[in-house]
Amino acid sequence: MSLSSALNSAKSSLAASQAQTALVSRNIANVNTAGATRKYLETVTGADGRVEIRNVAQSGNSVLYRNMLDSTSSVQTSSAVLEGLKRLNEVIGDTEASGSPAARIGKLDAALRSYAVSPNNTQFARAAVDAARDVSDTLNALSTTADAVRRDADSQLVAASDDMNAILADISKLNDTIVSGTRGKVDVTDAVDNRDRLVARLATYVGINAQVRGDNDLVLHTDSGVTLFDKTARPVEYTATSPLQPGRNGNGFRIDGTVVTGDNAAMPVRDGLVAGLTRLRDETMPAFQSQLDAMARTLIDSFKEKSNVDGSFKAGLFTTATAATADAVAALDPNAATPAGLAGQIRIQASAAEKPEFLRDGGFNGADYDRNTADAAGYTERLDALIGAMAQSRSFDATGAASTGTLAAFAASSVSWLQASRVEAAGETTYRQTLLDKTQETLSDATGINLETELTLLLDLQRSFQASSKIISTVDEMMAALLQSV
Amino acid sequence: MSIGGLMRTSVSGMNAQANRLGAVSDNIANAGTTGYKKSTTEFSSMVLDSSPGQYNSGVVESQTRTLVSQQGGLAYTSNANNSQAVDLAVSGKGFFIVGDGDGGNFLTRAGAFVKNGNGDLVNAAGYILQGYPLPVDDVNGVVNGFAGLENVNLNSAELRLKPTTTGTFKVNLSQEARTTTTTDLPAAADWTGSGKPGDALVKGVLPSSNPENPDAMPTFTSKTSMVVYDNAGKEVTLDIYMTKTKDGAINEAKGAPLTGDDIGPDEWEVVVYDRATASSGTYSPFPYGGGGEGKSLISTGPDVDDGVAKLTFDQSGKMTSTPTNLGIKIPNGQTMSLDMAGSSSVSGNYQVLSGKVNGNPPGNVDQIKISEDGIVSATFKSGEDVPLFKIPLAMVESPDNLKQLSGNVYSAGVASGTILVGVGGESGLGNIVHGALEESTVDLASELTTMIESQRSYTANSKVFQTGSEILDVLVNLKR
Repeated sequence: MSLSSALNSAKSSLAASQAQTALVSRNIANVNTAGATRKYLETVTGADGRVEIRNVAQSGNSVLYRNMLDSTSSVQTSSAVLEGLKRLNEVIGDTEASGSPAARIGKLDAALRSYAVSPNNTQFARAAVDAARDVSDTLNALSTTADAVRRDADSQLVAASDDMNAILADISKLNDTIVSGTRGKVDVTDAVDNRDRLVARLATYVGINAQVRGDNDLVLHTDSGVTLFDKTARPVEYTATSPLQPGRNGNGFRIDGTVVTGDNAAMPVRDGLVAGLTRLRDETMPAFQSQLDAMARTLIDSFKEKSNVDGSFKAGLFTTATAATADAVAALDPNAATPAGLAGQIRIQASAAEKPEFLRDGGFNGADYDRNTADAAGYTERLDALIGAMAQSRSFDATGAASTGTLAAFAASSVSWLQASRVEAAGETTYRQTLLDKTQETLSDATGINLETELTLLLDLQRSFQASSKIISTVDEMMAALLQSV
Repeated sequence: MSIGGLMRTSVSGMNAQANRLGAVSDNIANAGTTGYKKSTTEFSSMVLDSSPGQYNSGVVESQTRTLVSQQGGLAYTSNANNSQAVDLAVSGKGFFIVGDGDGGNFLTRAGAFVKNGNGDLVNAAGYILQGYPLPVDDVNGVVNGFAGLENVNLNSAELRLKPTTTGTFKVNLSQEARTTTTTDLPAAADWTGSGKPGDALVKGVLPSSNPENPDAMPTFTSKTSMVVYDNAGKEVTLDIYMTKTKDGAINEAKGAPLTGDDIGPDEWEVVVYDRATASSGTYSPFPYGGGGEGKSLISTGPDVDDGVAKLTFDQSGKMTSTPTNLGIKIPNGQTMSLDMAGSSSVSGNYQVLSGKVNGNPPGNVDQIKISEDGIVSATFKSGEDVPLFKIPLAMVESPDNLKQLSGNVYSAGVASGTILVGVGGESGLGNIVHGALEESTVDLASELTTMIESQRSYTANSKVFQTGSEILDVLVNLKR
């Protein structure tokens, strides 16, 4: 009995060493794979002192993993906003840059003043009209960019919902494999790694609360408590907002039938790309748009023309593609709300290029609006009034920037609001990214693969394998001795 | 007389050694046979009557025994959860009961079973493993016979399912959540508490009213969904809405905090709807069931009224309503008892602390598990175990006297005593080990030494015979 059992024990030791060596080689192969955890064999002493292989286990740290998920989501929240603000910044430059609305408005003011000094000089008139065109072009360009950023955010949300559904479907498949494998004591460690990686990808979209219950069964909730995955994947629904109008919020993002973004969200998500994009689309960009609209309104209001006949107002040099819109704005009560998207529609009167002197006299809207009926070359009353209107301190119906002041001051404060928001978002993103990098590093230190450990283990395994082989060859020699004597 | 006797004795000695060598060769041949028990040969002497001066040599008689009761070593295999190949071993005195397919039942320790075309488990010798079908026939077995036994069948073509009957759902409902009221909010001027009326109280339609033609989205505080299985094993998604309907610590007319005995419990309403009946309109998923048909599925629980359960929490966040179980009637299914014990309403976010239901969708038998007491359960992907068979163990009083038949099987007889059937872990029967095989009890080294011994013995007997023969030769040659 004893020689046979010696053989059997040695055989089980060889099997265990081989299985462990295979695991070491798997670990070493994955030493540079992000998110790979260290696998090890659980062995116990079985009957007759043999080695029995129970299970393949893996290292893990749920606390660090959770921190990593949280950081992943919060990086995305601020970076989504940052990306949108960066695009605006590329169009504007800083307050001093010639492309900013503040600089353009300053130039228009200067051009009007020069024109007022020599009102008979058509060159100055043309220069003033050109400066005005620059202002309207800048407002158009910024409004278009802000609109494009919103539209892009909306289509990114569509892509996000598609990707989230795909990820959840993959998680669902892996989870089935893992649960049945864990119950059947099959090695599912690689599937668990893959599932963790997918959850981390999902965390870029929304803040995630991940729980693992018995049999390695995963349950996912958003940071607001909406179920994302529990036995089956819950639907993530988003339909593109079409049309996405200025001043109107986009569609809400639905998870498991519950609205999770927007004002009427029952359980709003706090972190992740979805929250960031929604904030960019429905808060940051509309705020900037409202500032641009306030500037456009002030320009139309400052340059409006008064009828000599009935005293009614019509839009002057600054109008819109549809003249009626601008006329309505010109006639607005100062306390009434600004029409959303006005900055995108503001134009210079088409006749301004041919008849720049209308700027001095009035009359874009016909003879009834001509203040200089005598056609005096030195008439400056209207130009002075325009300069006065631009320099007048007024209140602005806009979010974010200073609410009262001159148009130039408001334009400057708008640009600095944008810069401040951008700097804040950039700072937040950098901080979150650093935190994420650190957390990932700590997680990798705690659960990842360490080459030195693996190689040391390999040496041990080699020795153990050699010793077991030696036992087998010795038993063989003993048997041979016995057989010789037969 | 004596020379002839001597030759007869030595022949019997040679015969006995030949028998012993026969047993040794059996043993060596079966050194790797699963469940094989080694045979040993014992000798006994037969003495003839002798008179003074006249000694009559006797003969030796051999008897070969099989040491059935000896436990073989267990070798672990990789077939620990496969339903195609099932390796079983007994650690103890019991035997598996196998059938030959024609009604004959035998005992064996050879447990390397594979599935045949019918889904039966067949060992290397072609015998079919026997067991009691579960759960219905659990009590049909008898202790001293093979009645009630059937072939253990793991036919994967059969679908097995289990409808949901119980579940746990433990949540924290945020204590700071706004209270939904169906009456008009007090005017801001009457509000003496902090903030505005809309900060603590919000007017809205409760999910429990499930309006047929909603003009606004019903206001709920938290919502979750659960997947359960109906009688056909179909997935049913339940939407669970939890809405705070009363804040026990503030005066709803004035917003001022209450003091002393005026402080009451916070109240939450819980309603459960079937997701399949959700509408797709503007206020999707409301109304459930369209046409005013949608009713909350709760049938029993704390303060249940028309499907609406009312949970109460004291100001320290402890759940005070009883019972803590909600009875939820699953459409085309069982009434699930959902245990909400341990739920709280403390400061902090809404969080599902644990949520789990039983049941599984129809699935094929893919992986199986056999416990120490012989219960064969199929493991489904939903993580649920369904017991299929119970494998009994049998034993006899004298295992070494069992009648040995081909294929490592034994049958009980008068010498061994009658069989006693029980389950693993019971009265010395031993345990069933899944994923292991019992090795042959043959030890090659001792067989080889026995062989040498027999050979020497045989040679010595033949020398005796040769000597007798030579003596007779001398005798014969006396006469020329």
